[in-house]
Amino acid sequence: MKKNFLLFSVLFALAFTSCSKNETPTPPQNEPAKGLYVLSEGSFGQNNSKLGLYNINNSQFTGNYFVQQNPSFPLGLGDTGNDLLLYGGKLYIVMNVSSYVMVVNPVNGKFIDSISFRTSAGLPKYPRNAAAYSNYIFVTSSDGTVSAIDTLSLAITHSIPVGINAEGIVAANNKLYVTNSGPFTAGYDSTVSIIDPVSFNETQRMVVGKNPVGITSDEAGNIYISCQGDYTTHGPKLVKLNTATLSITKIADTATSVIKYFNGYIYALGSYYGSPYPRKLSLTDFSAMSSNFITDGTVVVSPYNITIDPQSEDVYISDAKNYVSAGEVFCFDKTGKKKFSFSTSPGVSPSKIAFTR
Amino acid sequence: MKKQYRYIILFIFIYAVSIPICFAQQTDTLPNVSLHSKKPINNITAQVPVQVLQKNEIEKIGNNNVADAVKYFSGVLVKDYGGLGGLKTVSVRSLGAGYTGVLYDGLPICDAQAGQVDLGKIATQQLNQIQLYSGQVNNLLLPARSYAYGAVLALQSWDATDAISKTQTTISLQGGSFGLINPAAQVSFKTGNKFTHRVNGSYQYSNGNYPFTVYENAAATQKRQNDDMQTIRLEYDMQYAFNDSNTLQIKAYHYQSAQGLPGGVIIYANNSSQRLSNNNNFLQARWQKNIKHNTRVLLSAKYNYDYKVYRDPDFIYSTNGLENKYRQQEMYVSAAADKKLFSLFTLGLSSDYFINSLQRKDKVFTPFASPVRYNWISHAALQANGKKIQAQAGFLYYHQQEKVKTGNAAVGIKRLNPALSLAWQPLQDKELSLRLSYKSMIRPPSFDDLYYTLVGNTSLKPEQSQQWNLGIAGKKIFPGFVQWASITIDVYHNLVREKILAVPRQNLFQWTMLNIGKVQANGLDASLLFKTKKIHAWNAQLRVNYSYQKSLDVSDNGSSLYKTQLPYTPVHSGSMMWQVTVHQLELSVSGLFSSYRYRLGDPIADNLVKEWASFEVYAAHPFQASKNIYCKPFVSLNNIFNQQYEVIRFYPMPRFNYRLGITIHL
Repeated sequence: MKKNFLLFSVLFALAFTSCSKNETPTPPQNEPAKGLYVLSEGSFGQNNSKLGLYNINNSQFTGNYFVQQNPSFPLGLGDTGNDLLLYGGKLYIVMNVSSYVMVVNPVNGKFIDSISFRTSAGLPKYPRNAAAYSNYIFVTSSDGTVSAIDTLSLAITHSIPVGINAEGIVAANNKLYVTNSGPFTAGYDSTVSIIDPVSFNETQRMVVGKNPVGITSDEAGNIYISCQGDYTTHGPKLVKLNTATLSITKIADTATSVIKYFNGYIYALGSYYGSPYPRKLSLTDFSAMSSNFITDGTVVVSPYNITIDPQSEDVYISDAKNYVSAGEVFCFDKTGKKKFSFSTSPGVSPSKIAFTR
Repeated sequence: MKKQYRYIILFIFIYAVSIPICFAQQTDTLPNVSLHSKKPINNITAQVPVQVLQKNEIEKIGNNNVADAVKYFSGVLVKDYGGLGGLKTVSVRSLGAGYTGVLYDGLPICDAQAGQVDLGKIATQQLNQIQLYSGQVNNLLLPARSYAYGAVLALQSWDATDAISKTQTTISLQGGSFGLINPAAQVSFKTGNKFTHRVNGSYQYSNGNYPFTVYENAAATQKRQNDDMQTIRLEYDMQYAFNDSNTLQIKAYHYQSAQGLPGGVIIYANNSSQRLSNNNNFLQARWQKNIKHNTRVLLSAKYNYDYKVYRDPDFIYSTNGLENKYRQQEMYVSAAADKKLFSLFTLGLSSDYFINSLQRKDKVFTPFASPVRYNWISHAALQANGKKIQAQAGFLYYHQQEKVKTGNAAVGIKRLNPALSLAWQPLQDKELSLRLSYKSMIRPPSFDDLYYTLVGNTSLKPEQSQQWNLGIAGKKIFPGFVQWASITIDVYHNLVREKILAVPRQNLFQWTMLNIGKVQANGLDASLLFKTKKIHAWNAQLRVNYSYQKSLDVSDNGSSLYKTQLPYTPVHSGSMMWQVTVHQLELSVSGLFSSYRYRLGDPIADNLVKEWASFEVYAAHPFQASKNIYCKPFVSLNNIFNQQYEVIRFYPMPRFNYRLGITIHL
């Protein structure tokens, strides 16, 4: 199967390379969401990542949707699905430990292609996160590279060396910004790499703070970086960087991990340190609007990720619970009141969410 | 440091006080009971369940390691990650592997870093006997630490009472599947009248690249990667017999291994290159003195040195790969005494003081705690040996203090734990016994639990457990074909609180250890043994074991996992061993089975790990080659039905494999 799988990948890659169809542009986000794709990471080494689909109309969740739609993959996606990105009519699933990117059709969940992430020596690169820009998907990998996937050919066309343990990635102001966390190098890395998506080069590397991980951008061309610190002398930081002037405009000792900018606020989860609650932070001084974004007393045991539907302004919080049994996804309105929730069974540690409209 | 002096002084004080107390009254003679007695233990009248495997049984099962052999005990769960180098840990009655104490020739072997012993690394070739106590060991003349475990696995490689008149040499050579080669040799000899020596050594190599069914495609097979293992083991034992039947035993042990760590199979990206090498050495001495037939004293000392190097050359997160080097040391002294009082009672006192240290020897970029642990364990118990009733009550005092170079040291431990046991033979002239026991104990957190970089948590408390056992055992001699049969049935209830579990924080790369678990285990262990009369040179024995185990996670009644079965814990499991002797020919058929389990807490199809059964066949035909040469060729066929199964999900076990070899006694 493994060989077939690779063969398929090659065949599909070739098929799409010879294709000259234009990329369909991303539809405007004015339609209400019909469904939610939920990627559950699973447990390390258990090969149990799940792609589930929640139907908002009938409140039905199909926990193992990918396997249901693709019986030729009885074991599913593999190990540790780390990122999910819907772009240009394709759903990209970044599989960290199984070290490849799965591409599926978001309309029916069917397999389109899989893109293997290997070093020149044939070792797994362990891809982490993806961001889209123009006709490319840029994917960070733990070996310190960013790979550019052509959205038409679905082949990796460029591999751009950045800092060690490239982690988060975001597009802003016609550039891509990559956090280099480097937890296994002496003293951690503390930089953000800036990539020019036209020349496919790293143009600059800026020091922002120890162990930068989470990254998000606003409409005004600022990016926000969550630095975890080194867990000893350097504490966690939240950093604001102006991409026009490439200057750091704000630093605070705010402990965060996942950060998502939306509509004038940063939605943040705590980290190794910090708050156990999801919070909404002000852009000016990073202070929390309240100690807990959730206002109706709903308990989220282990908040694992935050996704905001820009159309409805609903806030989705993935709850990893005890990380070994089925998680749960909560939908809150913008005031922090619960609208609905569903179990991600058999998905363990649900994280990223993508909307179908 | 001042505090440590206080412990040492206390320790010496205990010696000074306890030993004369024991010597003071000298009345009756002590029965010759020993943990390492050659006589088979009477597990009918034992106060706690005891299971025994003798040499002739050990050699017929498994692949020459202790973990494979103890799979044949009931109530035992071996987590086997497959192959020669795969980790094999043993938990008894759902207590967790950290509760299983391992005594090697009378003294504990321990890994304070991991908190559990990898039994796959201990060879069985040199062992005469393996005993498993599911609860408190009843013998009172043991180091205090022997009473600090939930279950004790006692391995005996050499019997002090072994009388040899002349030099005895044994050479053996084995080979088999997956490149197995295993030569071993042993020489026993005497120098003068009082010194007996034994030198014993073995070498083992296997490339471990066994085929397994590819997960993504059941029609294809792949070979297990990076599963090779090479070990060298050398042991020297010496016994000095004093004129007055006192004995001094000294043991030196050296073990060196180099192996791959194959890891679980990752679908679509199976890749493995991590290596581990281990150098383990210990030196131990035991001096036992009998004083006027009613008092015995046992003084022991041990020094253990362990060095582990872990390498990941393909560690992608760093340009130079990853290398971890750990050095562990243990210094151990123990004094124990037991004394018979008024012909009915035996009083036992023992006290151990030992120091564990762990140092990291590689280029660390985060400061390492380098913990040093000072342990003081004392035990006092009184045993009553009535004609119909035997009972024991005891206390164990556990004191632990720790020091670190950087960061916070673990919280100290001071605990007093009781243990009680009782056996009753209600019928006269019948071998039938009822038993009841209770034991309360703690498991201190391991160094990894406390200090592992970013994961460890120094505010951990020790785990606490309570064990109850109620059993019945009987033996009957028959006039017919079956010479005798014995049966034991035990039901138990175990409760583990403050169980230490690894919990990820904000993502799967940030874990921490917390005292959040609670486990409630209810189970039943049953064993049946039949032995037939010798008829026309035929002789047979059948042993059947069955275990029922309901081990529930009762940590959090708000969790979806509340009262679900613990991962990897089968409800039903068992073993059978059928041995036949026909003239010289020794034949054995043995088998293991396990019902289905779940790999994670949720009892759903996605987590199902299928039931399995594996059978093995052994045949040997010893013969006298010449006047002084005795040969025993054998063949051992494992997993004869070529089953592809897993004990741990994504760690495939070897399918059919074989060993053949010859043992020559000169």
